[in-house]
Amino acid sequence: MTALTAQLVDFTCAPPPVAGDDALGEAATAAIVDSIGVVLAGAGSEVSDALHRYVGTVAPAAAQEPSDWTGFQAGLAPDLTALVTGTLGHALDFDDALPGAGHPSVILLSAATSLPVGQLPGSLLLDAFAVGFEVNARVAKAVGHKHYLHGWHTTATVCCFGAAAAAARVLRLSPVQVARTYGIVASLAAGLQRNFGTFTKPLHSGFAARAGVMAALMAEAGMTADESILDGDRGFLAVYAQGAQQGDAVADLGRRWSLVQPGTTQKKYPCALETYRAVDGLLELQARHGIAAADIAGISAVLPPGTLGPLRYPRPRDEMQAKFSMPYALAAAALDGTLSNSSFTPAAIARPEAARLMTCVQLREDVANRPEDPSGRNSSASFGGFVDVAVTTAAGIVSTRVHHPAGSPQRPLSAADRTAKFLDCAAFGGRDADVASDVLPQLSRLSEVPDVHDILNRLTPTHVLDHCAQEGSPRS
Amino acid sequence: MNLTDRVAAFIVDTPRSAVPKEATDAAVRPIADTIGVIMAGSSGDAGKSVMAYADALGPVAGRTWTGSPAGLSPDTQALISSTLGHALDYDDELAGVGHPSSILVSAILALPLAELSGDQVLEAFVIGYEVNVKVANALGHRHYRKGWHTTATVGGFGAAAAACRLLHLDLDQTRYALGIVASLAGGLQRNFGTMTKPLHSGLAARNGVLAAQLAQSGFTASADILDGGRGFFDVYADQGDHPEAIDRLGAPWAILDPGPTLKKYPCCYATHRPIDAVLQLQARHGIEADSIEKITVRAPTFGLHPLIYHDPKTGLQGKFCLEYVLSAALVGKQVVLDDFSDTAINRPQVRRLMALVEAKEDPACRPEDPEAKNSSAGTGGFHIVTIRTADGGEVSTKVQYPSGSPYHPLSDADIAEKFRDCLAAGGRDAAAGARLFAQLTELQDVPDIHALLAGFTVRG
Repeated sequence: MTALTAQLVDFTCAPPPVAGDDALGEAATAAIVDSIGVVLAGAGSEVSDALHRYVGTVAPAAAQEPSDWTGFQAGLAPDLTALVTGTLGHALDFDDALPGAGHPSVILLSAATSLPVGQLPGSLLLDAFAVGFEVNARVAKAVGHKHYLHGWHTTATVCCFGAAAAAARVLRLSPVQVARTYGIVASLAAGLQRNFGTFTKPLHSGFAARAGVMAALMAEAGMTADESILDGDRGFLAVYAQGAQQGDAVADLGRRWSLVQPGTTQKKYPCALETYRAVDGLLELQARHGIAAADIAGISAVLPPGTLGPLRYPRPRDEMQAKFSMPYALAAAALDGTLSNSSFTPAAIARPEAARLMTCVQLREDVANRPEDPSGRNSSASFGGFVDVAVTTAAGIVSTRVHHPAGSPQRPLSAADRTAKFLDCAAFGGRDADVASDVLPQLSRLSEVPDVHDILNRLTPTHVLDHCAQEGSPRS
Repeated sequence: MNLTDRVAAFIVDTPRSAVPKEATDAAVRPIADTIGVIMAGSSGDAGKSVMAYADALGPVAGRTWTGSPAGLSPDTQALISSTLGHALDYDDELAGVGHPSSILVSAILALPLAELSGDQVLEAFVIGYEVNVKVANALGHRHYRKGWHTTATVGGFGAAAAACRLLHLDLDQTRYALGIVASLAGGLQRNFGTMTKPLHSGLAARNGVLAAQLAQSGFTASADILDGGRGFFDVYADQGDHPEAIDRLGAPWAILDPGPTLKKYPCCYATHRPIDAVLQLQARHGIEADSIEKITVRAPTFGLHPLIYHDPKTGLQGKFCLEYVLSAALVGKQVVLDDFSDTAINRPQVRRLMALVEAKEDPACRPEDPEAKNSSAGTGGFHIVTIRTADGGEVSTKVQYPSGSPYHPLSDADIAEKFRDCLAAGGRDAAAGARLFAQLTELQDVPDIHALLAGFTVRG
């Protein structure tokens, strides 16, 4: 048996993969553009305010510096830049997801764009992203689903390996340095689901990006670590997989790219993926039968086991909790005809009509809704099985069954959807609409870009959003 | 009150007057020892690497007393400082808890506080130490046996506690800081014997500072992270062996009972009792290294567990190699920083002896806890070491408490000597070091510790 770590190290250092693979290049470009959009949108989140206060406290000398595309001061230390970018990108829970492998793309983008390397050609970003995404997917597969069931947040604990791979690739580390990068990042892997519904959930994304950047920079600086950390007694898998590590995680490494097969899920709604299929079913029924929110007397969803675990807030009190609330997602979707960033503002959450609709929601998990994996041991609750949705009105009950969430490889966002999402995100993040429209086509030809930072910096906000407190004083 | 409430309330609500003078007095020695060990850290490979990392983070304009570039974020300052503090594996330790002092001192001194009196340092240290110890006790030994490095995973809680106290965070913010630091808790024993082991200490200090400053800035987190399903104790130790340990915050104060062990030898704590044994036998019986034919170590169950190297390739690996440290002790009649250079580990005279070491664990050497469920590799039970010489003689001794432990503490002269050696290794001025040591021994009277340390800025 060739050790897993060694195979991933070889893969990380192999020649550039993207050139000559159009499908991979397209998939990576789309994921990067989607991620840039949600980082921009993050400026409109409450988390962004707290992040500004934090950066103002820890880097006061930078406070007078002009900002970069993230809206934070240019010239912060690379690890802090990665923390900021990764946190912003997950602040709205609007970034993409790979089933079982967390929310990799923002983390990979954040790590790759935070390193002090001068120019970052689009082709190098694409390579680093594709390699990082694949390492992320393979480590997730190796660690298995029991890891998540135990309470870990895979976005934090596994995506740091992807970030480390992307960073190592940008820094062009040697094989032994890459092996050590993985050894170091394994000792940085942390993140508990119990922090879902709080500002710490998006921090996990920032932590993962920062961990990857730190590990790669430390290995470059000469720091040593165990060089086969994924393998063997007391290695990462032995400690984190809860005994359910998968031996075949790298069987087709280099022949199948997870970005292409199965492909990532780009999120249509800025909330937990576990809500999607129920929301899709509700919207489909409303459209098909012309049901207005005011007419709804009951919404029921029968869900695969495990769906409700992360959805911890039946009656959310703030925007973070609302993103992890099935009753709120359904109520807001019924009212808004979709779910957008504006569905999760404090004012939107406080709508009396939303409160009424939440009381109409009935939820139930049923093993029959996940026949291929009734115990939910092997698959993510957002994708396995199917969801049955029924809506009750004075006219009676209508129902539907949804297998695949919007944005998944089986129901991908259209080009128009993706453009609309990017522009919405830029606007929510306070960016100029003309600039965003102008930049988007350039980003879509990423492989030809000489320096990604030149384009990103065109997205630097020209004004600070009103609610972004800049004084750097702690909230009491 | 649940467990998280109790920890947060202890951090926030314990009045200064409730921290006894005996406890703050007992903190003086470990704090002084730690500052010396941090300054020595740049002499080791891990110290050099972490400093190279720090220098690459941005333009260097001035340096702090640790040698780290000034102007880095406080959490990164803490990271550098505590990595240096553990770089030589020479910082103090507490059985079953890890190495809290370097983490606490580094976190406390990295916070952006304009003035910091010696009394504030002592108070925050004692509070942080207490939280660190009781959280580690609550997890129990099960946590370590799963492969976690407790210094890293639990150290962050102690550092967060000290930082929350000094930043005057309120109860909610403190609860959130605990929630955040739980989401940063990592560190695998598999990285022992590499530079990442000292990095773990740095990470713990960083995590505490980061969590406290994020909470101060308005970041929320789970308000009860220690409690319930998928909480910290559940995920990291199946709910923990002894959650009731949280009821014993401040009763007794861990800095007094059991109290820290200041390390006499700059290597893994699990080697200290066998080192004491061979040095005792050598002194008592006048044994010359070259006359030795066999060295037999009977260790308590689990006592050999962290000693994962048997043919060390680097000085750092040598710290986790029982065969090496015993052989080096017998050849040098002591164990000092110089024994852990990459050249020292290949001395032929030492290598000859290494082949003669035979070590095995024996449950009879841990009669109170034969399966090592409740005690660590460096403590619990006893070691029996036997040396056979070429003339056929065989001598043997039993060691229960290592030098530097509360039962067998270092003398004042030992501590002053260690401080002097550490500052010399770290390239600091000897006379200034002696003055600093004298002031640190009266820490409660120091008006501003930053002013005291400012003179120790190393050149960039």
